[in-house]
Amino acid sequence: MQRTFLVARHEFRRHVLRPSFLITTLLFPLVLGVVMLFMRANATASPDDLAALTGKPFGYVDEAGVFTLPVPEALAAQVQALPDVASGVEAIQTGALQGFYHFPEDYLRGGTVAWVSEDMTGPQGQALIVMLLRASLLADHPELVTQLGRPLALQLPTEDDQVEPATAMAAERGMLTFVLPYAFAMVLYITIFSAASFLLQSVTEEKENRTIELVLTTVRPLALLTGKVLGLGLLGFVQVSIWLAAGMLLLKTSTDALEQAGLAVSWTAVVLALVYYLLGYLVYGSLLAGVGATVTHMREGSQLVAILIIPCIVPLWFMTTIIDQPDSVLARGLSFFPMTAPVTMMIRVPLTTIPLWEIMLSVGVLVVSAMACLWIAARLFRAGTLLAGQRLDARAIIKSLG
Amino acid sequence: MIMDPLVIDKIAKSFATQVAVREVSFRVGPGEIFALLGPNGAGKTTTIRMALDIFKPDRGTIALFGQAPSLDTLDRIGYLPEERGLYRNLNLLDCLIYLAGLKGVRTSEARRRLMFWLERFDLATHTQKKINDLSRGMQQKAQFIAALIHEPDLLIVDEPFAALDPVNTRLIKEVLREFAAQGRTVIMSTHQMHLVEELAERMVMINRGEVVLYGTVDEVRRQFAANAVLLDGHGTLADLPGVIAVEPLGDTGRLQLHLDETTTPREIFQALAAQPAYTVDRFAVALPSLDEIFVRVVEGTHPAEEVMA
Repeated sequence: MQRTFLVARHEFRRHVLRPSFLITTLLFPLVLGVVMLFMRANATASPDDLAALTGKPFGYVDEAGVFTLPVPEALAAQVQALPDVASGVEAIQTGALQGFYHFPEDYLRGGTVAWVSEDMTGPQGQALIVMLLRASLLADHPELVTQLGRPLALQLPTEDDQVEPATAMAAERGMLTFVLPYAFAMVLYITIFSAASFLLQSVTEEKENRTIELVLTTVRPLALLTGKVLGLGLLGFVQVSIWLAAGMLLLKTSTDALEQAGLAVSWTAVVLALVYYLLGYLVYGSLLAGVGATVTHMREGSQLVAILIIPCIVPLWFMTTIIDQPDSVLARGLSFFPMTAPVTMMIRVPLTTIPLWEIMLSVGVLVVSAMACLWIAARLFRAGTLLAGQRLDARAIIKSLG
Repeated sequence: MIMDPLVIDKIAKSFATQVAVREVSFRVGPGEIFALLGPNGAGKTTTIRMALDIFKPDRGTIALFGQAPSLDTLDRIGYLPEERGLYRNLNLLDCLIYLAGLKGVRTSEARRRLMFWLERFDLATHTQKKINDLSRGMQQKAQFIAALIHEPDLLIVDEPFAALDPVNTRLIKEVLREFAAQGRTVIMSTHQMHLVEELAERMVMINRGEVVLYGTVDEVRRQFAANAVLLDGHGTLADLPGVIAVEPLGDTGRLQLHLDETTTPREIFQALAAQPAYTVDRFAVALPSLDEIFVRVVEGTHPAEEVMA
């Protein structure tokens, strides 16, 4: 046990001081921050504010008689109703307007609208004018206006044949619902695989530099591999914690935008994220340790690693389905399969209340499979190393497990 | 009673396609320098690896300090593997401290001991260098330090003199002798036979996975002694009964006398003493060097069955 700890400390120390590690760890939040700033800038630059940005309002000339409602007072500074084209042109020339929409008499039949302006920036405030138009056209059915703004809300039967509006919540949450779990999954991948590739490297290292004989006379393979997995796991944990903390801080600074989108990330989700991150890492880490155990050189391992990545990506293929139905059989099934569970759970957690037993079961599955993988990896490691550079074939692998 | 550090009893080991060790037995006593000899591919390294519990023998038993190999007994062993390797990207000091730690030596204690050894091995000025930047000889010395930093009771060194210049060879020889003088045991595998003659008391030689020679170095050399004596002296040498041929050895004036089968060196010695015209400076039974024995055994000029001790 003490040596496992020693190996873990050694691996952690070695990697944490690497410039590449420091750079990635600190650079990522920075990039994230820049992206968030950009997103915020975009969010504030909504159509309503565009006119305000240019400082000039725009107008419309309604020859078709479709604008039955007056421009709301709140928008008066941005949109003006004009009596005719001539007054609009004059207003543009005097610099009072940046342009106007011309709805000709046959608008309801032809649907053509002209944008009249002097500058080259193109039509401004399109969303606003569309909103005003819709409100006027549907003046008798105000509820339809809201409904039109929503994405299609499909009703889907669940496994107990109850029909429920599955997407209602998700739809109201909008884009961020999609983006956040996706970003989360990506972080999980990046860290699992960066930590895991350190691990693969570290497991093959002793074979490549031939320290292995010396090390094996002092540490049992299982203790050695466990130490490596733990040490590098801690490394990844530190990294992902820094990233998450940075992410949370950034989210806090832009809470308004998020709350508008109806999405707040709870601390429970963060804790679960860390738990699943750790377990996900342990499963993939021990699998990669097994890969490292069977190959003599790092580069032989990369092909096998590519195969291992596939199940990790599976939840992303089904991402839309999982988001739409976070409690479906598919989503649940993927939550209990060790290689897909972490990402699936991370997609589900912000969307639905997952029963405790499901979380415990998937955590249990992950723990057991991580331990089993490590045990197998240790057996392979012994066999793989000790045949002194001989390649392991299927028979030798099976024999070593017996 | 002090337990024998290593007792190997009829071990055998096969790999997928070949038999590495057919049957090997030997015993290494406390405080001795023991040589493990044999041509390349004879099964020496496999035997050592089994002794270190790196792999298990298919048959037979191994006892380290009177018990089956375990992590506890392995901690009492220092090992210099034939395939050298240290953590290339670490600096010398960190690497040795880590390896010492794996053997259960605390960092502060490891530092203290390393000060001594690094100084003695002339590496003290290189402690902050990466292993990769050290010369082969330096790496070899560093590896040697890694093998004995935990003050093991049994030191197993595989080709300890490879890649070393005469100065460093002498240094390692000194350390090995000191080590044995402290009551610790050294098992040494090497192809440098003159060093075996110089250092080792007992030896085993393995060929094709079997023991072909086993005993004290002197015994083994005697077994291979042709019926001949070496003679240094001056004066006129008259004919001696029982001497088939007189062979001058180079320009040294030394003679090798080949005796017939019924004559013993003692009879020749007495006959020489009776010759007033010849003064004997030095008289010795002609023992072959281990080198010659090695070549003869491996090439099969001396069938294995006859020399089994």
